Order: sequence, then C-alpha cells, then structure tokens
Amino acid sequence: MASGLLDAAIDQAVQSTFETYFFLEAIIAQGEAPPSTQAAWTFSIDFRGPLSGSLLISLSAETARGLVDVLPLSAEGHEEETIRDVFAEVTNTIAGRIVAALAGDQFAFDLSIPECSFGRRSTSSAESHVFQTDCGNLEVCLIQLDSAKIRQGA
Amino acid sequence: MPQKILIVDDSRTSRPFIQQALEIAGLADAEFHQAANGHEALSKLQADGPFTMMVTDINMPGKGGIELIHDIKSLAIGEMKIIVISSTQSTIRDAALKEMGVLEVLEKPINMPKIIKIFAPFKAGA
Repeated sequence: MASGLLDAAIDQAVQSTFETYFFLEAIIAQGEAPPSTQAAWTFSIDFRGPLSGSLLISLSAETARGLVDVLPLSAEGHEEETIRDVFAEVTNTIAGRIVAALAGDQFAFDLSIPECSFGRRSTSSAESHVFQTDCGNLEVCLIQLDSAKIRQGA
Repeated sequence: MPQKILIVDDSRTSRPFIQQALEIAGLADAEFHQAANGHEALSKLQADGPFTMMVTDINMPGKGGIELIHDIKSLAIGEMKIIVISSTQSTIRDAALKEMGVLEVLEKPINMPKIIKIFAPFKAGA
C-alpha cells in the first residue's frame, strides 16, 4: 500500500477542510491516539468508484460543540441536530477531497449519505490519524480501502 | 428584474451559507427559496415557479442533484440557470453535467471569489 500517499491525502483533506469551514488549524498529533472511554460522535461515509472504502471521523461531544460554536450560525437551540448537520457536511467534504487526491479527478465517485452515531468510541483496527484543533482532538481513519488502485506518484 | 433562486441542499446549515454567499456576490435583491432534497425541489419548482436559477447539492437523501437535473430536463420545467455544488471533483461528471446545461460545478465548501465571478453577470443592473 502506498501509505505515504494515503497519509498525505488524509492529512491534506482534513487540514484544508478545517481551514475553509472553521478557519481553524487541524494539526497532526504525534503518537497514537489514546483509547478513550469518553462518549463521542462518530461520522461515517462510504465511497464507491475506482477506489472503494469508508471514512470514519470521531470527536468528543465537547470538541464537536466547540467547533460548531466557531461557526456564525443562528442559535436555534437545536444543538445535536446542528452538530449532526455540520459534521455530515465536513465528513462529506473530507471524503471528497481524499478520493480526489488518491484517484484523481478523472473518475466519478459515489458518496453515501453520511451517517452519525453518538456513544462510546469503538476501536478500529485501521490506523487513526489524530488531529489537534483549538477545540479538541478528532480521529480520522479510512477502512476497507481497495489499495490496489491507488494512483501512484502523486 | 430580480432573480428567483432555489437553493437545494440537505444540510440545514449550508443553505443559509449559500444564500449569504449569493447575496454577497451581488444577488441581495433576489427572492430565495430553499429545499432539502430533490423531491422537495421538484415540488417547489412546479408549485412556485418559474425560477430563474437553481443552486443544488449532489449528494442528498432520496432524490439527489443529478437525478433532480434529469427530471427538470425531462419535465421541461422552464428555462433556469443551474449551478451544482459538490464535495467530489470529477471532470467526467462535470463535463456530463455541462452537456445537460449546467452552468457551473463548484466544489464545497464555497469559494467566495469564484462565486462572485460566476454570479456577477446576474446582478441587478449588470
């Protein structure tokens, strides 16, 4: 697997998305993410095309609230709904940027509708990328990726 | 004549952002309507039309943006400028959309300079 290309695609997608959505930096955290028993939001999206797989993004409730508070949204009192909505969009955008970086823009991809859940974080055998933001950390990982078709030599 | 614009996006938080971007781009005097998916958009187009412009997401539950555009073309729901906003980049898909008459395909999140350039011709008095 061209792990360098994969890592770079994930890192760049997350960082650029956070800059443009939240005007915040998402800095790559060094070292492994500590196992957490804290309840967390998990957003997932599937992509199908020349490459197929799933993207998972996990962040604590506190981090999610902090990031949503950064946005100029009207306070309508629907915090949970707003968090779901905002991070579904963020997950969608990050996934789109990752597949474009890995496979190029000459192909068409299908993205699923992002799904979300809230509860105890589930561990994944896939390697997580952990990012630090001013509002807390988030974990991003790609799973079930068909790596045989990752574009070489980006 | 002011524009009548339909914004189609399943994200409740994205729709006001898109409207705000269009207002900043010079369409502050437009009449804006919103829909959360392709089904709702189609109903609004038929009930509240004609619209001069539609800005639509692609990835939406139920009826997505591409299916919506196909339906609009096959039902011949008036002349309308269509702009697509998408999380994914695909030159093949974008070429096909432009063949269908889509004016422009923009990447999410919205890039203001690009929005201003695309919508400048539609400002009142332009």
